[in-house]
Amino acid sequence: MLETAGLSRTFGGLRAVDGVSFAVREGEIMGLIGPNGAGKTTLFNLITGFLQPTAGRVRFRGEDITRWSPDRVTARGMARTFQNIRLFRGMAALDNVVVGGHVQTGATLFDAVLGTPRHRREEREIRARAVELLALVGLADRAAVPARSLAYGDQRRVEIARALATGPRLLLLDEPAAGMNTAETQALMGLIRRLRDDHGLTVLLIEHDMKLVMGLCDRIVVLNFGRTIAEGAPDQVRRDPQVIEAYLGAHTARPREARPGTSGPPVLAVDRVTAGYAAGDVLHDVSLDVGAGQIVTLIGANGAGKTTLLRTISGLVRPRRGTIRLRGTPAGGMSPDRVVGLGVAHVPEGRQVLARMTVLDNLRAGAYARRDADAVGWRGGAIAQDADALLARFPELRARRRQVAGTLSGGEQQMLAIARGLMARPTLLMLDEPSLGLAPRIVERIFGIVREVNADGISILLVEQNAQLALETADRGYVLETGRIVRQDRADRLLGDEAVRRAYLG
Amino acid sequence: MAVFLQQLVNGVSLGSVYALFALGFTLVFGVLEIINLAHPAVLAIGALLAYSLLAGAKTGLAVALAGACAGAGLLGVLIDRVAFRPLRLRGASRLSSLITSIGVALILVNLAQIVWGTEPLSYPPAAVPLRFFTAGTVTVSLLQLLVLALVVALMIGLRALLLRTRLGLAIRAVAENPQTASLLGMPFDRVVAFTFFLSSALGGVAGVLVGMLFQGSVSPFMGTTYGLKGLAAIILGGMGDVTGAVLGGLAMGVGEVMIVQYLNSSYRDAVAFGLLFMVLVLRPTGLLGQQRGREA
Amino acid sequence: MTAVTGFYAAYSTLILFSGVAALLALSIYVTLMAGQLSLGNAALAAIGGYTAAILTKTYHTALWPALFAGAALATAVAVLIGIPCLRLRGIYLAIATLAFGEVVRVAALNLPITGGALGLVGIAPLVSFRHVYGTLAVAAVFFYRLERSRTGRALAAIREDEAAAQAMGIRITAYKVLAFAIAGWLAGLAGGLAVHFTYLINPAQASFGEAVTILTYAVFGGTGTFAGPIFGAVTLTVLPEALRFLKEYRLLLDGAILVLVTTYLPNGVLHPVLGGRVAAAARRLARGRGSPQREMRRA
Repeated sequence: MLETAGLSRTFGGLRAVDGVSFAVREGEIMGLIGPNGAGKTTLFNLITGFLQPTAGRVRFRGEDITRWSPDRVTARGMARTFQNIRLFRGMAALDNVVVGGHVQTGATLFDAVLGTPRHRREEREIRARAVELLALVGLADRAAVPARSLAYGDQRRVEIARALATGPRLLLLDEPAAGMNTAETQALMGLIRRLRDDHGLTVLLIEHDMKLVMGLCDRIVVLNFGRTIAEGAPDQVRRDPQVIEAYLGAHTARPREARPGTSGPPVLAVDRVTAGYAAGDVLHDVSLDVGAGQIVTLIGANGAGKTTLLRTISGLVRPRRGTIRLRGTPAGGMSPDRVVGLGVAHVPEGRQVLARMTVLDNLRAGAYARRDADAVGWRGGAIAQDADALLARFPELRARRRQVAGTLSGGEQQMLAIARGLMARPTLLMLDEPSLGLAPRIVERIFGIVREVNADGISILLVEQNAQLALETADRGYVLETGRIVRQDRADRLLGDEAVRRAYLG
Repeated sequence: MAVFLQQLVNGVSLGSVYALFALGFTLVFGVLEIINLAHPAVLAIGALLAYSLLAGAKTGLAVALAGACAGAGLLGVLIDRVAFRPLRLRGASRLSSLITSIGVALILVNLAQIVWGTEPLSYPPAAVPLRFFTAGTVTVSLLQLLVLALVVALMIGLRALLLRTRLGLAIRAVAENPQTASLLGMPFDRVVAFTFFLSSALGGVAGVLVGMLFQGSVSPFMGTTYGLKGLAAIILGGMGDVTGAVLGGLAMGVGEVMIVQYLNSSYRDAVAFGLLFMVLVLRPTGLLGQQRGREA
Repeated sequence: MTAVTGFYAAYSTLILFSGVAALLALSIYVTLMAGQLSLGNAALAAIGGYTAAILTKTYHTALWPALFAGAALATAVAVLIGIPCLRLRGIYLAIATLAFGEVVRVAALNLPITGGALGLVGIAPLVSFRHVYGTLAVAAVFFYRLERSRTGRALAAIREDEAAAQAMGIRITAYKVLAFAIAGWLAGLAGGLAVHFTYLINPAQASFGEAVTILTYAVFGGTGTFAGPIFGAVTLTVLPEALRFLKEYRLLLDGAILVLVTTYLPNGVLHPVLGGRVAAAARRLARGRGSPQREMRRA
């Protein structure tokens, strides 16, 4: 039904999708999985026409649809949902679904203005159809509610109903279960099965919830670094060593002995924190400590809430309940600039270097919150000395210190992001996915840096998808699953623990 | 050739005022990605404040400039509080900001009418230097030199502020990535307020310079022309780009003077806006600008 | 003379103005339906006005052919500028249309056929109540039907989320051009009607200030449904006349409306959930300082 051949897309120098060839057969449910940044959503965008491929072809229902515009692709019988929910937020749930009937109808503006029978018949039909579809996804009673006021899980289901209203043969779902609780996910699996069995749809879905993927899909394609690394039945894929390595990371070093935290209060104490966004809570009663001088890692599948926890600690997200203490000082709900003042440096996911500024300016920006920062002139003084010291530690950056950060490679940007964090002279360094999208050799270097930094006495909270590596580096580990801590222990004990593997691969 | 040189001199001095004004536009756009259409009204208020200081309080030019600069700057901070910040807090679209800024412009112009009347005003002759230097066939007035010197000094100062100071670093960081900037401890609100101060202060000074260069040009409505020219300048130079705004302003000034000289004076504005329209459609990032988000 | 005809005689120009203002407000509303802010509508109205005036004045054309010719030309121009502008979004589109308006104004100022700065005067008094309100009635029915149609939904979908609209199979370019065409037609018609009861037209009518006035109508009345712009236009035309002291502060009033309504009543004053909005605005005011992370989440 759908077939790609050598599909590729590069962004700048990055090969987001790199020669992907796979086929979806009529009537099957196919899963598309892979670690963060593997290129899954980019692949969806290439198939549906939202992005143009740099190379390769897409065939759909016997026709070459490469470079078609998205509206043509939809009209041909392919519908999709979006990873970050794109409903028509101001419209009622039902109206969202009615809009989906656009390609199923053909009344023109003149039909509408003159009130022709065609217009009236079509209006009746698509409304009735929309009511049916809302009922199908279990939202009949929410029809009049504006989309923006719906709960997160409901929004995902409206999006599916809206896609169905276009009358597709193939349905592309981008993380349909993200943000859903267990019961909702169960219901969703039932729904997707019914769509295939009763409505004859073919389904291709991206999902991080491995229970769903393994329980639902007939076949699975695994993507890593933009390439397919495995394809086959769920059981086969789950046991594929390459897949396990892509998800959990390979063994690199020997696990370290756990060290006791030094005396005094923990650097960071999170106590029963509940937090999230407007659409709902992401974290539930999360408690976590980082002792002075320790490396603590927080692991868990995509969407478990790891990044949200870091954002809550650094003040970007306000906790709804619970307390956060930094070296004993209550810091819950403080603005980010004040949290920085308490000695926390947050190296965000995707590095977020200031791409238009030079390496040196990025380092200076890192020192912004320091009390010894002088208003004018960076020469001399403690900040310039620290910048020099860090540049000496990262020779890669030293050579490029006057270069604009956007021109650095991914690994160099990660080093710069860490160095920028260190410029604040933090007591706690929080790292979010430092290995994301980096080659193994670079990842090793980054983790070497993390150990060195820790040896200087800085405590570290490490969020990492590469669980193996993270646990080999850390003293303690916490496993987060759908917003709750499900396991916590010494890192060496968590290594090889079944709970960890389950959290990632179901 | 002599005519050309003479017009070049005139064009550069006019263009430098455009550039100064455009800088204010571009600073705010760089940080918030909104167009502050109240900026032209700020220019007018700056010029009118200076008029009151020169003609009413009989102060010297330096005091008038400083007063207009500070007054306009504070006005800018107020504009942000009233028209932009509430929308930011609500997460409203940037089109809403455009609309509120138009509203603020109307309010300011109307208030200025009430305070200063609608008649065009001129600065007292004593306040404006009236000496001329002639080199060959080209005449340069002391005023033009003064304006040029002031604009150049302000631009150098702004550049130093942005590149060499801690505050400038924060402005650049917030402009690029507000979230990362706040993770680094930069207070978003204060950086924005300062940006508005800076932007409007430059606008106010530009207003005073216009009043000095052209007799009878000071009125509550004087902003309209400069508003559109300034907009054209930053679009030519690329929105949010400081160097681009300066070059765009100079290009506008020189281009305008040359069109009047060599083509048809009545079409000079049509040419400017036709060009602006073309640049927007063909190269929305400006002739010099880098790729920026185009969504508003 | 009955009370009604007496009232009409005294206020006929004002009443006709209200109707024309409503048509202009609808012309900016139709592009806003698709989320596109155009500041060139005053210029489109001027194109319609000049064309119709020249036809009736110089060529002694009958009224309706002249009006339709003006509207057709404005439509053609709207589509011509609309197509390249569709690559632009949000404020860039607004600025491009603003620049277009200036080009029209300067052209009107300089073309021999448009009479320069003075414009055209002594245009025949051909338009009366039935012309203006007949047109408005047709337009209102048109918009009532449009909002309840496949086309109206497509425009709304584009306004809410272009990518999602495309994913629904909506050809967004075609619909945006359609919205621009309707805007051009309405503005051109309104311009043509106006000149035949004001008897004059000049380049100032294509100015940015006029475009802002039209925008104010729509913002004040609200852009949730077509009744909003009509209500806004009529209210803001009549109010300054009814309350004489407001006349001097007309700009102040418009400015305050643009700021306050946009900030605190984003759906306009004529909105069913008006009460709720006011309460929410009051809460926001009371809460005062917001957290920086909310500011981060700019749209």
